[in-house]
Amino acid sequence: MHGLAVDALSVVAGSRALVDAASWSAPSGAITALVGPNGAGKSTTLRAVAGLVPDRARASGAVLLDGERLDALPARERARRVALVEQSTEVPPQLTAREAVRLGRTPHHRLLGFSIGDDAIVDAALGDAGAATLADRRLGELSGGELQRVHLARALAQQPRLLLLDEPTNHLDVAWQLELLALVRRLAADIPVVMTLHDLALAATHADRVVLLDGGRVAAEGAPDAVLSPARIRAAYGVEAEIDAAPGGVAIRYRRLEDPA
Amino acid sequence: MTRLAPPPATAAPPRPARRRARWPLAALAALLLAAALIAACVGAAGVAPADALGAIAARTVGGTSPLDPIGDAIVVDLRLPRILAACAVGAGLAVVGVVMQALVRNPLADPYLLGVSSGASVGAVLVLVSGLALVLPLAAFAGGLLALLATLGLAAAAGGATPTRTVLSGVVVAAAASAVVSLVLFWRADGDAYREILAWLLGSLAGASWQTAPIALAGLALALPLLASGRALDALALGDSAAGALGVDVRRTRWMLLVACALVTGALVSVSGAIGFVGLVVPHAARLLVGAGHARLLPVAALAGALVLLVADTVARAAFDPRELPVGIVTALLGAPAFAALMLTGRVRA
Repeated sequence: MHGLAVDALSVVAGSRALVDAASWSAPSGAITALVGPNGAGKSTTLRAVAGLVPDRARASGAVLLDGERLDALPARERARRVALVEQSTEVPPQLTAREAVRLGRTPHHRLLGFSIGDDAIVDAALGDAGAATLADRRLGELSGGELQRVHLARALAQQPRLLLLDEPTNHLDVAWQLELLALVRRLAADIPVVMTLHDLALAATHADRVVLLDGGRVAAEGAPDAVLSPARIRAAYGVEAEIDAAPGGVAIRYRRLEDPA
Repeated sequence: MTRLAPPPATAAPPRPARRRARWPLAALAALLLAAALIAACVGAAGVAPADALGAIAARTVGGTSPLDPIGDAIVVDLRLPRILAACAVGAGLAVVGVVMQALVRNPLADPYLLGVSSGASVGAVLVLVSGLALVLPLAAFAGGLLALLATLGLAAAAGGATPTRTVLSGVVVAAAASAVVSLVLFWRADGDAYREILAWLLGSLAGASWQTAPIALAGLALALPLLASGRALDALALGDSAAGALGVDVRRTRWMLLVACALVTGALVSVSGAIGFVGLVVPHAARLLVGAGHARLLPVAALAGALVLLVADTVARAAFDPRELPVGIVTALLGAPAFAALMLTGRVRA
């Protein structure tokens, strides 16, 4: 199968299952949104797909990318195929954007760190992420939106075949959110992109598929309008949702169950 | 009268990150050579630069020394090993400082963070009060190794060498070792031993000789793999999980680098005592010069460390003639204002 297939993925810490036998897929060329309430296992899932498991936890199940078992690969090999942009990557303030993006080449390097063509790949990644003008600025001088572009560029410099984004719109104002999602749309042209999102309206508007996680399990998976229904939102989040689908995008109004309509 | 209009104000040009890469290395190397030559010439017996070079050449490639036997011995047998030891210790401490600051992600980290120097002090103080000064480097190195084992063992038993756990374990071990040192000092030391111990605790290269300089150079050789760790350090600076997502085996890398740092520090400290300041501040000064990318930072820090300690040691032994100061005092006395000046005039982005 072309794209990502996650089969019975579990992440267990002690006796607690953070992710519980979750099976879902993310086709190539599409944006898949992982949604769910706090603690549903969205970030843990994303990190486990990238091969990162919390201290003292164990992962099981299969993660397949274009039919290849990612979970059986050594870390470096996996990092050549999968790029992850996390929510709150702490940044060394004195590093320049170009130096940070160059780190995306790490998994491709041979023993001594020499690699031909890196400069061109780094420049292309900076350009694709709309960060070309930031190249020589230091990370400490950049705004949240600019930093997010640099992180994206670093992920692109890995030349991944799967892109994972954890809450990429967090801390961004609406203009930057739209910029970023347009950028992600372009990147998703030929690889699968999976992103976690808290904002269900953004997920409904910008994702091609939605996977709803609840308590570490997959509660629903499919087209946004099928998964993000008032009934499903009520079951997962415990709130009433009123959904307005307009041509320009989806708006959702929420209300507590105990509040009057 | 017409005046030329001032050039239009433009947006600040981006810093030429690539162009500023080369000159610090070349400049530092030139300064280091000059400092080494000066160090060979100044002191209680002044020697002309040409004579000093002639004496060294005579001993290494053959020929007759231009100096009388005493002058020759002063330059080649006393000053030269001391110069080499100062360069090796300074370079090694600065490199270890850079690596430690990156590993535990803390700008206050220095080579002594793992308790290695405190452990070495215990070994050194024990042999100094017992009068067995000949085995001092050995005892210091053994003490440092024991402290390292205690620190890493404690961190591992508590769940793994994360930055915070490593720092806390080092603090605990260093505190225990310092207590032992104080206890021994208070109980046993008197007169000469006390002075010797204090000099060692402050750090001094006065004892450097052709017997001990090779130990410092071996320590520096151990630091060579650290010089090649730039890319891994850059990745770790993004955080453990980002480094992991880039395919870096975070746990293994951190353990290997910590152990390498401790071995280098142990070897250096066994020769010079716990010289302060160099391993803490030279990394920051180097960062001001060339930025935070470790591939460029590490060699610059090495040369800067060698230069700082060599200059400080030359001042320590020549400026207060006939007395000599422990170099640890001079590094801080000279280094603190120098760094403050760098902060005020340079571009500090800490």
